[in-house]
Amino acid sequence: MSWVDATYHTPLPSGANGALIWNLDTPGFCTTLLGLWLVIPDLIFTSDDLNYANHWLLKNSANLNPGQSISTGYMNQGDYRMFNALRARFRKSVFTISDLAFHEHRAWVGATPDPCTGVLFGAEVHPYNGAANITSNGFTVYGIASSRVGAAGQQISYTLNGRTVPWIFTTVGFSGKAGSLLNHSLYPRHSIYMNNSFQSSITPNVNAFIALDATSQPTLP
Amino acid sequence: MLMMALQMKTRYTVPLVFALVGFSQDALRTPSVSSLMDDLRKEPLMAVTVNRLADAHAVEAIPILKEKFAKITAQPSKNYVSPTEELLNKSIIASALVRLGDPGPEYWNFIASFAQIAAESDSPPFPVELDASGRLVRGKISSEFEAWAKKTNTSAGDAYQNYMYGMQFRMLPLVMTGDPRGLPIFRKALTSRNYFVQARAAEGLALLRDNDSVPLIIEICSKAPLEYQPVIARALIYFNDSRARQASEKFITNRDLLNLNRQRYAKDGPRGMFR
Repeated sequence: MSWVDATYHTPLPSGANGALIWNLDTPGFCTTLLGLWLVIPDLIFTSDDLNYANHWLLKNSANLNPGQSISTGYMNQGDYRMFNALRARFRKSVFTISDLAFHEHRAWVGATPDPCTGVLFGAEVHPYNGAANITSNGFTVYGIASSRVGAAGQQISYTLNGRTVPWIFTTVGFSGKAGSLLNHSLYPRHSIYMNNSFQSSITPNVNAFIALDATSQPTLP
Repeated sequence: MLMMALQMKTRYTVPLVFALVGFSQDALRTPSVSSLMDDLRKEPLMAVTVNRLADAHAVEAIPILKEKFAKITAQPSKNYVSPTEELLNKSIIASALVRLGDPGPEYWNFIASFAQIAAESDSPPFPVELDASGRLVRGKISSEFEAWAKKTNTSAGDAYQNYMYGMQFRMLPLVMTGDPRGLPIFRKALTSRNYFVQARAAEGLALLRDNDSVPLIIEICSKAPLEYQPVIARALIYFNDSRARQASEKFITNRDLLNLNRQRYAKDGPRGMFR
């Protein structure tokens, strides 16, 4: 389960100008400011302002914490970035995988909350989202989920950061009985579950992620 | 004695702290025209680059902008959906070409028809739930808006995005030109049910110094929900009109915001709204 964790962005970075903070925290002004950010980096004067804006946008579009197990109610709300679930049956010899049958591969892309109002709206789905197969070396069964913020969010990110928006992704797989996370983006938080029981989570690195661009995306393993 | 010491500390340390913060910040610089021109030649096109070239009056960008405009075949649609990225880019290119003084009628016609959709649209009700005092209830779509989406067979998510961002964006490329041909469109847009379209229209009228519209803008502010009054009223700061000045003080209670916009007006005139 890939989700934006508000606690990771708390407290917000210091040093931003007061007008930026006030505008973002006031719903009506927030929407007009983001409307301007489609074209003009209004109220962004310093690197501290930019850093604050990036963290603020993510913190205010954070998702619900999925918790120790993922409930149907949580899934139905769609308040997560991405869900990648894989169940497969296969025969494994030393060098090959055979008789592969996918029992389940759910690569679901959730919605992104509008940072100004909290209302959920759609994300962009990567062409590899939902891809599932055997890796090229023949040793591992995998499934990919990948997406990124929708068109308006991408345009805002272009204006602020001067780069295209990197993709978020996870590649899950089995090389033997145990499943594992084979590859993942540096952001957001990826929580790993086994038989719907929480195992561990990977702490995001947002600054390194923001420094990337759209060329950062999943590859077919 | 202790009180005096505290007062002394407050008096002398606070300005020092602010000064230090000021020094530690790394000011972002606007890229040079030559680096913007390099960016313009690259894909994907970034609206911010195009707008900065127009701000810099970089007429050397005109041939590339015209070429990019011609390549985008998308046309504005009256359907209640958010404009595509292609349309956003095409409108910003057209806006920049008008600002750079290109006489081609197609550029003006494009942004005028784009804005007209927002000005003349029969807007749905406000999409987010407001409480009794006119404050927004976070994360909750209004039942009135949901009913409208159902009745018109429109996806609530698409319609939400279009109301909040799509419609105001349709206005922006025309507003930023400051071209007097936009006057009737801005006046029409003031009567929209969409607060963000009204706010952008008020900005366009401020840029045109259309003081005749001031009473109507004040009336619109007084009828808007509490949360959206200052959003529309911000444009009043950019009119050279005593009624507008007085009303802006009434609707914008945040002094810092008022002062920041006044400083921008003093420095750059009405174009300070977009600096």
